[in-house]
Amino acid sequence: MMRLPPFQYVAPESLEQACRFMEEYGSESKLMAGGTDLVPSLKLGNLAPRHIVNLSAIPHLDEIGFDERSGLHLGALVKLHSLEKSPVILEKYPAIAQAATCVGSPQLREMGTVGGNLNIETRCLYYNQPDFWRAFRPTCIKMGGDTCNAIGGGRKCFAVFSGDLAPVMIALGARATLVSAQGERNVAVKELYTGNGAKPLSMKPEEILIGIDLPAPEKGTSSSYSKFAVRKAIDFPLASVATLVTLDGEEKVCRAARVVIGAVGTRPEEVEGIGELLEEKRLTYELIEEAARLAFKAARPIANRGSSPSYRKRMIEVLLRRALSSALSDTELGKEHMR
Amino acid sequence: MSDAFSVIGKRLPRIDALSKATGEAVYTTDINLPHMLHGKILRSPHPHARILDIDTSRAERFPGVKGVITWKDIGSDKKRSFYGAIQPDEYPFAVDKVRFIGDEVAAVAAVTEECATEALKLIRVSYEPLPAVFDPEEAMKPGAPQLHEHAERNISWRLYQDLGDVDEGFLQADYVREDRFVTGLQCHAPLEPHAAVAQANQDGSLTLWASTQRPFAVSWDLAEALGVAPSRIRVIKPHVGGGFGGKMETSAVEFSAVYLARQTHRPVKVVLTREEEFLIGRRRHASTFHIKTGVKRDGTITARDCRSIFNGGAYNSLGIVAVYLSALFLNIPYRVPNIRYEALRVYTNNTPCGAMRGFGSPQTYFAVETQLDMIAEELGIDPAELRIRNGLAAGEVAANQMKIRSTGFAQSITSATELTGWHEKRKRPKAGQGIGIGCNAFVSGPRLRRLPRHTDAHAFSATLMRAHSDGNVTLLTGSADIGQGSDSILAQIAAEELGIPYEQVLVVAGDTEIAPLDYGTYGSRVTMMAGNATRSAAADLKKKILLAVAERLEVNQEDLHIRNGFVGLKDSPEVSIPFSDAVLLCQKKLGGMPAIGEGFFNPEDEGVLDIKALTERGVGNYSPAYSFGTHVTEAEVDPDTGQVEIRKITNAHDCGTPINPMAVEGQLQGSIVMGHAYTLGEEVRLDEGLMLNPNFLEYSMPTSLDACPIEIKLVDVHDPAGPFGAKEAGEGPIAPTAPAIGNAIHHATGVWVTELPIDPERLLQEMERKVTSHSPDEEEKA
Amino acid sequence: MKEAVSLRINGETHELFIEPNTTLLEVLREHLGFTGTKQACDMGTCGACTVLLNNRPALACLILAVACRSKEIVTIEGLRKGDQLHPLQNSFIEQGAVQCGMCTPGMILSAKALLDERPQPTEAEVRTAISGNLCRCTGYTKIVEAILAASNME
Repeated sequence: MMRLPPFQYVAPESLEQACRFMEEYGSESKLMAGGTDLVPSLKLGNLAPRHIVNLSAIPHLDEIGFDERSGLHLGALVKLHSLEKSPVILEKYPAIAQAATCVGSPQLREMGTVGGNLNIETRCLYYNQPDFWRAFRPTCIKMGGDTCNAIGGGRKCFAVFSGDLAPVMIALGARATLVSAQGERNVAVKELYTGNGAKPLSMKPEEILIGIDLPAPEKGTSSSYSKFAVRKAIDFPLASVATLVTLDGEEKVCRAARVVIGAVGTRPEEVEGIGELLEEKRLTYELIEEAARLAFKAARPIANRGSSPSYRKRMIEVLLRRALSSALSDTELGKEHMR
Repeated sequence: MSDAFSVIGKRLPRIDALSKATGEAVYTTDINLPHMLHGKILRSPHPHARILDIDTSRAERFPGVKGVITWKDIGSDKKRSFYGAIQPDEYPFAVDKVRFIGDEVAAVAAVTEECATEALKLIRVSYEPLPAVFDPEEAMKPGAPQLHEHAERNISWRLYQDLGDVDEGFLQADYVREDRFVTGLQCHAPLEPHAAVAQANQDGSLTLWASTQRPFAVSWDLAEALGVAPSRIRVIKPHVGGGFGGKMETSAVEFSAVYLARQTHRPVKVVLTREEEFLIGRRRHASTFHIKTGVKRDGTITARDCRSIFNGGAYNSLGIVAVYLSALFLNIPYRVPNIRYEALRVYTNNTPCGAMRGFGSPQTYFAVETQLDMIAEELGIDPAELRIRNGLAAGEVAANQMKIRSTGFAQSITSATELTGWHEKRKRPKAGQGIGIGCNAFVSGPRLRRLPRHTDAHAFSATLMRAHSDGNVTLLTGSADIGQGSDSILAQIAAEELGIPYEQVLVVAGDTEIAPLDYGTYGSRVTMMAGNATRSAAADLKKKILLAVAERLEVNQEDLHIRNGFVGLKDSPEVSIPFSDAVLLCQKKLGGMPAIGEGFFNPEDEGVLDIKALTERGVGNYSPAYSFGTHVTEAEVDPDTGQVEIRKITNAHDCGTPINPMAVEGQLQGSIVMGHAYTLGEEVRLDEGLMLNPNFLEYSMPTSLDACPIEIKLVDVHDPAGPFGAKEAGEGPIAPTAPAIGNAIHHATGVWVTELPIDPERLLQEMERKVTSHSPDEEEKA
Repeated sequence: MKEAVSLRINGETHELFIEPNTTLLEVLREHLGFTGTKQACDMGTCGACTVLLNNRPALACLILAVACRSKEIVTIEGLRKGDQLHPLQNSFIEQGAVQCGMCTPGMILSAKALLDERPQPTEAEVRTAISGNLCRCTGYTKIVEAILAASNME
């Protein structure tokens, strides 16, 4: 059995208690909810925090609330399983349910949380390995060394952000509430990610993510999440696409469009130029092809995950084409979870 | 068929299913003994290096460490502790060189796993890294790094088969084609990793619990190394969480546990982590086949000339067996009157490759079966028909002397094609969908003494059966149920032969101190060999019991039978003696001695296999009986992603008489899904000899959502060699999976699959190439 | 620093004194002898260590034991009631869904969680419910059949 490194364990029972602790010890601490990303990292020796702060006992962080004016509120401790089952999410934000269903396995969806999934560490074949394996290669940048093992001689870290919820949250314009002893701040979910593979999360060491808010969906808006992986369960995505499209009337004039691609870079990326390309135009298959090409160009994977970078780029294009075609033909993309 | 039997052919639950379903079943990994220590193994970080020095002093002084071993504790006497199938080439711990990343160098026993893991870091090994080679063709070139002194050009084994007159055979052919096929690595990935718990006793004897397929082989290997009598080494096989060929050898895990236990005078448990299991578990060989086949216009095969290269990795392991078995698989199920085959197994600085379910047949049949479809297309013959035309018939002998006593080969083809509507679907496939066929033959255990050193005098399998006066019977067998259900099959065979209910047979298995010898689980031998030994023991016991009853009743023994646990007279139903009473009578007759039946199985009655002919030329009647099978596979290729969706695999399998159809189906289904994964999902990603995906996340074993729908049809053909006519069922069906999928893809897309695992990106590129080469516009533009 | 932890397992309370960096799997297998919960990967990727936590499936290898206070934990050993096996255990046995048996405890518990929530699942729902439980022996066919058979028995 792999031993976790020793740590002090605290389970604060209020947000105030948690913030006070993090103010003092945040830089040597890791937050824990379901533990499904943290515990493997501890076992592999990727992380060895002095303190682990279990947020699960803090009340009111696991609520799902919706009203027409302020939209959807998701507490950071809402389980992924609850996202799959929530009637309001299934009805008004189906892409969130689609993304949640894609995560891992039923057990992981029971344990994992919204906050946890948004904050997972970036991944790389050379990093997510036990101690003894990583000792066969020089210490990589993400582990504090100065070389990238995935790209021989590389000086930057290209570890991949592989969470399923983040692209959807960004596409839907979600905002995150972060609290600390200093107070509260509210940022677009997009801002949570630095783009630095070695240090991918922008939250300050003393901060705690407590909730996500999304605007109420506009009339005629559809959203989707599709994931490409080798298997139909357990796998992290090798490529993923989240879309938000608002189509108007019989003519299917596109009023709004956002595309966010995932698992092909160090953070989820909003594809630039989609708005200019599609908005205020009738959505056609030709435009969909162009949009898919834009997404293809925006994807920048390297050879640090299962499939080849060229194939993953290609899958981004396929996923987006299918998602937008679904929106156009009004067919439900469903739990479009390619194998 | 099955109406004639009361237990054989019934879908009975396994005898150990209850203990497994309640969590009661004990596996090696579950064993904890008082004062037990935990062992961990130190591994080479280099793919190829000389060992200059090993300094264990700091580890020895680390608090909590009770023992440290290296090769010095085991010795480097080649007679004693040098291993490998046919050609020994490996020590349990590296002596002067390490030859792959993960090669075992030392081991530590400490009070906790954590302590042992920390202590490993304190062992200082000085290495002189050497140039390494990973590709077999590179390894054979002059100037390539040499892995072993004995192996020129790094050739671990060369087989050369030359039967009939191949050149003449090609002259007679109307059509000849030559194709190249490449296959990849596959890992066993059993859910239970390698594990061993050793307890050294004060009197020099030893008890070892090991997750092994061959308890007797382990006891012999350890006896040899330790210089003690094998009977002083008790190897017990608890429940095993899968083996698939990966637990056939005595490995560093067993050696570590044993030597550390002797050094520390405490029990020692060694369990591999999942990452270690993937990294160093002996894999299925990657291979390249060049196969040239000549046929007449009607598709009859006239000649075959084949060359293969097996990438062997750093040591022989059981890899040489896979190579010579491939020579056998080129000779059945089809009639190949003239054949030339050169197989080379090459050393490279990769993890050694050894035995894995199918044992050389997946690689061979991928080449043979895909090429047959190519030939069929060229000649305009239906692929199923082509195969039936060339199939060996019952009573025939293949060019390499393999005797086909029974064969359901043709039936398996007609069954599978009928069930699937093959003819219609071949002619009129739906867009993007294809249907393909693949066939194979397999062995039911080798007629080969695996380890001559201690087993010359022994039968291949022996069984003892002891009847109790309560009516139960204990069956003692050295065979090793590793999850395939062999213990239950033996119980069914015993129950049928004796005439008692299945529930009255108690099986004690896989304990070298208690049970008589059996070679273990591999090559699909257990039903055939231990099954026959069991039947023979049951017959012997029955005879003794009936003799006693006959005497008491003053009738002839021949007039008695045992049905449903009662001894009775064949023509008068009034006489009915419970089996328990019959046992008492027998014991009384024997003067109080227990009623024991003895049985054995030795397939050498038809002559001893010539091991040189077999291993060097692929010649000899390897097995008492051969199984046959057909897959008809329906598949769809996603034109945007190149991913292949299997709509259904229909497998018709000739396993002779199915002792337990439910158990056979389970084995076939498991074998097929493993074959499916070999074809489509599982890939070992390597970077200079280092596996990049040594875990269940990145090594894509199918989940329940990925496993393909399967339909099974059992082809019931009685074989005189097997117990009640049974033949193998566990390994055969893995081999046709890849070619049947590939042939279905060809039917759907026009693209031939000649490389495994199937890479969707490459498939897409091939599909696009087909489209552009057929498009008149593109041709004009070009 | 060790702390006192009270765990409810299969309806009984167990008092432990453990380091916080101890997983529930380690407590079950090494401290309390519940070896029915299996370890096959220790990284949350195979499901062999599945237990029920407040009736929902969870991976014991990823859970800190100290985080399980006040939760009801059920392991495979807790399924049978005296002599009475759970219908899933019976159907796994009868349908030939058990081969090497390593995946079986986790598989049965995942299936139980499904049937408790959805007594008449479709085959697709069954396959999804066990998609986090790897099996190397059976190819899943008989496992799915056993779960569907048990759903008809209840």
